[in-house]
Amino acid sequence: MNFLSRKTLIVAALIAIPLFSVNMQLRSKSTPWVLMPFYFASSAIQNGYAKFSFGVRSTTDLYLNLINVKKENRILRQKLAEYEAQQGANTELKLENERLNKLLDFRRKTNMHLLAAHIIGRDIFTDYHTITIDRGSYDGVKRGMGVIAINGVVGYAIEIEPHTSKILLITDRNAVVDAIVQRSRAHGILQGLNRDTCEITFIKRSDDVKVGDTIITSGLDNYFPKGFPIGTVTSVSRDQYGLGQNVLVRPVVDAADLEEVFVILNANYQNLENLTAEGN
Amino acid sequence: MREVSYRVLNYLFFVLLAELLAGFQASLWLHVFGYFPSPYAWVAVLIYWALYRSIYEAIIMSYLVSFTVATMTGAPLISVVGVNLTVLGIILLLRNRILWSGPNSFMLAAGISALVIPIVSFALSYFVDRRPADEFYYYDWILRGLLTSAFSLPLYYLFGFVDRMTQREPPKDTESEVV
Repeated sequence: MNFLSRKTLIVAALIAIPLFSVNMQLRSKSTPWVLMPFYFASSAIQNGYAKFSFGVRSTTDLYLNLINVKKENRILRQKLAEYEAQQGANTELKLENERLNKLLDFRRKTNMHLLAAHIIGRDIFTDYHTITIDRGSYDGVKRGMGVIAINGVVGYAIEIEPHTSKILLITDRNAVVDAIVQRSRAHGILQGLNRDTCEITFIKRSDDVKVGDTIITSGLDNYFPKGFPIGTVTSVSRDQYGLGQNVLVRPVVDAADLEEVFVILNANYQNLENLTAEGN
Repeated sequence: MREVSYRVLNYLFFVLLAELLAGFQASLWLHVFGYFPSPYAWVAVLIYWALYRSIYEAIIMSYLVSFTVATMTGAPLISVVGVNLTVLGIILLLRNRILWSGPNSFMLAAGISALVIPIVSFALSYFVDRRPADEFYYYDWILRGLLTSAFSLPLYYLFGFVDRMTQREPPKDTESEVV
């Protein structure tokens, strides 16, 4: 026992006991009780930061516009400058209006019950791909609900708090979505691989998949509508032996470009393939 | 105010700072700089306690920081705890060997930690995750290391201020030679 001093034993206990309890709690699907206050705090802080950021951004925009007006005043008459500033603001409003109209139009066209949400946070670690949105259980968000943008699938909800939710992006290696190849109807499971690539597993060797094929949701689980775009096939290869083939997919949605998303509260078993065809 | 109250207050302040710094990294940085690599802001709290507190207190704080960070990532709690304990272990090993007192040492320790985190997270994914990580982001790794180191300098003084406010002795700024 000489080498095991009292200090070493205390340090070992300090490390082992919480690790053991954390590991035990991870076996259950629910959020560990020990994390509840931390979730509450981080939810409030992230929402606060997001609101602060939106506020600062709009104030900065306003300030920059004012500086522009002053600069232009030196050259042009005040009225003209004001008019131009107004026109600039109108253009910005017009662009925003167009973007929001697209969202609204998309929402109107579907039978799905959608909930619009802002992205307020991203994952702290590089090799995990999640985002946080400003909607939670108070808004009806539940674990497993699909999250989409206008042009494609984004991910699904994994951790729900009263006012925020954590969304697992389809590019995360732990994410899985039931998918089909639009052209040949070959069926497989889409899994995340890295920041901009997914792969399709459990797809038969004999299935017809080509580079450029569009991958869509199968809609089997009703978390996503049927026929909604996920990505485009970028590579197809077959090992010398094996039952399947290696299919790599580039998602149509890049999370880095998103500000707003939709949570699918109820997909209503909708088939969007017809809708997309009409749209095209 | 009694000494115990000051001590509890000190813990609370540092947990709150960890929350704010993690929130800064996850939320505010996203709104200002988008998906550009962000510094591991929260790791500064862990480093501060690893360098200037007893080993017991440092372990307790590493758990509290882990609970904070786990709410802002898709990584499982066990992985976050593992990463933080490993970082703590490395800093404790270096503390009496190559690290000295003062802000330079703090920045160096923060930089080292930021470089260690992705490696440990990557390695741990083979034991914890259903599908281990298969890509290491080198560009991200280097940038985060540099940014974390730079970002930790003002935090060193902020933490010292919190210590003074809660009647704890802040670290001395005197620099000594590398042992």
